[in-house]
Amino acid sequence: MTVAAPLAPAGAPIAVAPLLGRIAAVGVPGAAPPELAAPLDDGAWDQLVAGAAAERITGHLVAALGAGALPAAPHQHTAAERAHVRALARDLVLERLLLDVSGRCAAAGIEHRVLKGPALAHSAYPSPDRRSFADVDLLVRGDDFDRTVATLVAAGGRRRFDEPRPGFTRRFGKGAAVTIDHLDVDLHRTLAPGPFGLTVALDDLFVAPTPVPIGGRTLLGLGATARFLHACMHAVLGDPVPRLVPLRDVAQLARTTALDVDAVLAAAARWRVRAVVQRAVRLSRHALGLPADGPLDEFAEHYRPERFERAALRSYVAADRGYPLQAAAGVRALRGVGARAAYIRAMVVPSPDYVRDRDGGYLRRAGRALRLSRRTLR
Amino acid sequence: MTPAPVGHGAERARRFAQDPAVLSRTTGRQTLLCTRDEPEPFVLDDTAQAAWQAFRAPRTVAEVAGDLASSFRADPAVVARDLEPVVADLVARGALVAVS
Repeated sequence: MTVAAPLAPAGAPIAVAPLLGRIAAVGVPGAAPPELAAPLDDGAWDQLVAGAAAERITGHLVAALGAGALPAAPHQHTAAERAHVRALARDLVLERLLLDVSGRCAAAGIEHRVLKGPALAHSAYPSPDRRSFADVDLLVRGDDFDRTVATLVAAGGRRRFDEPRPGFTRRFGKGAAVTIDHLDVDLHRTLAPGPFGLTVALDDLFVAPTPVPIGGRTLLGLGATARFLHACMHAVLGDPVPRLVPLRDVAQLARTTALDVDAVLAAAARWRVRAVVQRAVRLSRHALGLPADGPLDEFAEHYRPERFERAALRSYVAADRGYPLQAAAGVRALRGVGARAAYIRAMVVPSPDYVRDRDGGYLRRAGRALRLSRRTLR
Repeated sequence: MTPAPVGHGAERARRFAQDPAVLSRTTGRQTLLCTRDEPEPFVLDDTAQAAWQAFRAPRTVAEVAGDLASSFRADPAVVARDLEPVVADLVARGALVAVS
């Protein structure tokens, strides 16, 4: 499977797209500086700042300006800082929510881990202002999932989508989104939807946690190996067009933290996500303009994905990607007749509320399933 | 609500420090704080930022005013007079707490 052509961050014109990639790389060892001989005109600068805000990399933009790596007029500096202050204000509000949610989970005796943005901001980047985020992500064990949702709902949260059948998420699903005061808490049981979420060795996620100091408390994030694998999964499986923030996370963790490459590759094999790591390393290097001298570049160059990985990856990145294809690929990820039967049953005969919300009715769902099965069998 | 004065009488010996529960971010020349008492994060102006930084460890207003006066070659009494309402405001917002 080939790596995608040069990335165009969503909402940004092609002219600034490569520049945003260079900006996202500021601070990564070996990264080439942004190539700009003279300040942009105000129109192009506004587009650049808007693009950086959309990609949530205003911290790197301000760092580039502070280091003199990007020529800009004083009023352009001010515009960039203003955009970054807005991003930081949102980060702080989300951290306050995180502390509240974490405290409620702790009080209820629910073991949990902080994922992604807040965890990385306080443990993997030189300062937390370099890593902005859009929501709060929390991981709990499957057995605690329903109780955690109930805890958040009791705190005023609203679960946004129903599950196919009661109990599906705690056994098979990635998680659930709970909205509290118009802010999103992404509650995870595993690290991705679809087949790769089903192959993660979930016990690995609670081993050797990384301390995450926030607001005078020490929360717990994933251990170093799981954290890197999650960054790869987030970068590759999260959005149709890979976003710069997770691609930077991959580079940041691979090139500036003490990553145990052997442990990473062993865990990736155990989780059946080596193809995801390969793609993440390649995409990150390409988007950020990094040299091919990172600790995993040789692996990424030579690895040949297994058949399962190729099929599973297709369900996330191909033109016909989406939930139905991921659901079908998920069957192959499961082991055991019982698990597969329960999963298929939930997909084929979900609850009426779920069908109404997702498909509009059973007949439409049946038609969609028939088209999907024809495509899968071809 | 008018913040209570912090530099007079018995208050003069009181030490203040950053509340460890405060969430903060610093970028270039600006510091944002998010406290439990304020509904939204707020940006510190230059004086408040200097005061915030100075109270990383427990100190009195007079001690901080003395250091700032020294740094900026100003009259300590004048600095203390300017600093007192800033500290009082940070206390009222839950950014600084009295520790003695």
